[in-house]
Amino acid sequence: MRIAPPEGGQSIFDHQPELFAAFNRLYGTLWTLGALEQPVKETARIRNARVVDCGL
Amino acid sequence: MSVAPFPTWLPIAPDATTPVDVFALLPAGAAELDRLYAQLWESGLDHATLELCRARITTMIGGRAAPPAPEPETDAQRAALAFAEQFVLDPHGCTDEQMDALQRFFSGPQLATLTTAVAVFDALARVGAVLSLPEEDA
Repeated sequence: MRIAPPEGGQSIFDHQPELFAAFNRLYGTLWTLGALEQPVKETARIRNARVVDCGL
Repeated sequence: MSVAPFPTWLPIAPDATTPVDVFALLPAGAAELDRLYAQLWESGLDHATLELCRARITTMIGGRAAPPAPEPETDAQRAALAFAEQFVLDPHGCTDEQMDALQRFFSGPQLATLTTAVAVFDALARVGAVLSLPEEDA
């Protein structure tokens, strides 16, 4: 890992738990609400992950 | 938030010239985005560095004439800006040297903020770019 997480953490973002929580609230809202169906969102997420070679 | 309403090809626009706040289409999402965006600026990284990155990313992705972006004044700002540029162009292209430079100038919490900020600035610029009218139609 190029930038170490804090002790007990799993990723760099654990250095800023409040900021990471704010991101996760936005992420969760985008998944939960809105007019777009979940399978369409998931298709876009998978395609985006493949394009940028993200393993998540 | 830093994305002003803009003319868009989305059918919600009353006409081709009226700026539209596209983020208001999902108020709950817009509210969470506002909170995240505001917190970026209060999470331990100086505003000048953040603004340098935001302006450079917006210019790179926007592809339109923009006011001249400010130039970095310190090695720390230059390292942050190089990281922001590489993130936009190809995140896999970030080198070990770039990562080492970042860690010389910034703490772990600051790097968490910088990485999140660059990702948010990049995303917002891309949303604006893809939903805006082409320049010749604006």
